[in-house]
Parts: sequence; C-alpha cells; structure tokens
Amino acid sequence: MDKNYKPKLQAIKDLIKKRPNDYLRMLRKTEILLSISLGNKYNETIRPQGILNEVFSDLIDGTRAWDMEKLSLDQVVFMNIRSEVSCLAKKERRFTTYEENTDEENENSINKLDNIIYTEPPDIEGEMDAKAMQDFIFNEILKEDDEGGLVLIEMLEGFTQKEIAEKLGTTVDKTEVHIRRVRRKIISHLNNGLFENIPKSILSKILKN
Amino acid sequence: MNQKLHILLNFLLDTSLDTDEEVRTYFLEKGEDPDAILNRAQEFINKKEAELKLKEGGEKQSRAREVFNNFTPGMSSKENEITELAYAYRNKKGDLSEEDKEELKIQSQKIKELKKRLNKK
Repeated sequence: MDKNYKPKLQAIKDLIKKRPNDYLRMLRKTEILLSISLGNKYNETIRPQGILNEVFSDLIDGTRAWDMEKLSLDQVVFMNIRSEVSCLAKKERRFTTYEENTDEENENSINKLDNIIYTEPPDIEGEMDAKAMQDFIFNEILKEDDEGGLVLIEMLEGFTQKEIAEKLGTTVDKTEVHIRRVRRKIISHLNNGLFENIPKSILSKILKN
Repeated sequence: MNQKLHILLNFLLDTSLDTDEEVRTYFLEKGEDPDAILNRAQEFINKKEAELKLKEGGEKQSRAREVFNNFTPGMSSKENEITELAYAYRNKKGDLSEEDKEELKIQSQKIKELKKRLNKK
C-alpha cells in the first residue's frame, strides 16, 4: 500500500466531482483510442470505464508511477491508458511492435548476424492502407465539404490553426469551427472500420508517445 | 504519408476540441446517461477509498497490538499498576473528585483484566 496515496486519491475524486466533463472526455478518449487500435476487434466486452478504473486504482496504489510534481492527472492517465490499450491491441492483433533505434544503436547492431539475415521489411501494405484511408476521408467523408477538406489538408501538413486561417484568408474562429466539424465527421466513421488497417509503425507511435 | 496519418490520429484523440455539450450528447446518443457514468465512477472511487481506510486501520491496529504486547512482559505487578494509574490520570485534568478517583480505580482494573486476557491468547 502506498503511504502517500491520499493526494492522488483526492486528485481523482476532484476530477470526478469538480470536473465531470473532463472525466467524460477522458472516457471518450479511451474509446477513440480503442477504436483506432483495435479496429473491428473492439467490441462490447471491452469496457472503457473498466480500463479507466484500473488505471485510477493502480495510480492510487502506487503500482503505476505518478510524480505529481511533474505530471498532471490528465497526462498520467492518458499515458497509462495508452499502455493498457497497447497491451490489449497486442493481445488482440498479435502484432509485433516496430522499435525505432537511435543512430548509435543502428551502428552498433550493424554487424549483428541477426540484422544481416533479417531486416524489417518496409510496411508496403500499411502505406497502401494509409493512402486508402486518406482517400476515403477526402473523397467520401468530406465529399460535400470543400472548406473542411481544405482545412484538413493544411492541418495534415502540420500548420497551426492561426496559420491555416491566414492561408485560407479567414478568421481563426471560423477555422476552429471547420476543424471541430471535420473531426466530428471523421470520428463518426470510427466504428465502421475506417482505421482497421493502420500501419503498425504509426499505431506503435500513437500508443507510445 | 505516415506523418500525415500520425497527425490525423492525434487530431482525433484531441477530446479538448469537444465542448461540454458535445461530449455529453455523444454518450446520450449512445444510450448511456452521462450522470449514470459519473455515478459509477464515484462509486468506484468511494469503494477504493473505503478499502484503503480499512487496510490502513488494520495496519494501525496490528502495530498497536504489537506495541501493547511488548509493553507488558518484564514488568512487576506493582510497576504495572502504577503505570496504569498514571496513564489513566493523564486523561483527567484539574483536581480529582472522589467520583473521579473511583473511576480511575475502575479503569485501572479494566486495563489489568484486559492485559490478563490478551496474555492468555
């Protein structure tokens, strides 16, 4: 039992009581992460609230580390949800994660026999699936929404909301409205298998970062 | 391509873009009452807190028993009696009335009896 459990317990109690909508957002985020990671394997037997409860319980007990001075509750919960979902995804999909090495590690391992015999093949299918996903989003989901499509193109290029507004000659507020609308539209397709075949490398990054 | 997909997935996970109303409406449309969800969360945390308090209480109790058991052996009955009376006296303030003196004697006898029973176990 963690002797310093009280402030952690209190922070979680405050979240539920004083910031109920943030708790609901956390739960929603867990659902989205499950939909993205598990695709059509995500079903009613997997309870997002159960995952959240487990994470809360472990944080209070101290079985999951939480440095309260460095990380907010929202940050530490999301980190741990990702790790929970990652375990579930591995179990469900039985995929092996793609580890990215540093340059030094790459250099050190270059002579290893394993690396000479086996090298990670490029994720060609994953690339094709990613292209198909993007095509579906632009050609089907945002078919009648030219402004939404333009905003999304700029977003995917990595531009900020302010930069997008400037590029499209509109206000930041209007851009934000487009962004929210586009997000709602795409999310509504999450349970239709939109992200069923995400490239492993991307999924791994999402679940680790 | 992968970088774009990465941005897209993070964008979808950004629930701070949902207004309070949108997030509640989402659960209602799914047939789940947001308040019922919050009640379940509250119940879970209350249960967790109760479990921890119980555990904490149990640990304190066993520590106190240990201290108490280690305290009695090796002392003469005379010393024991004096300590018990002094202990009981500390709980009283000011001059003692006859009634208080009587009460102290009763308390002292009770402690003696309790020790006897604990030592039997």
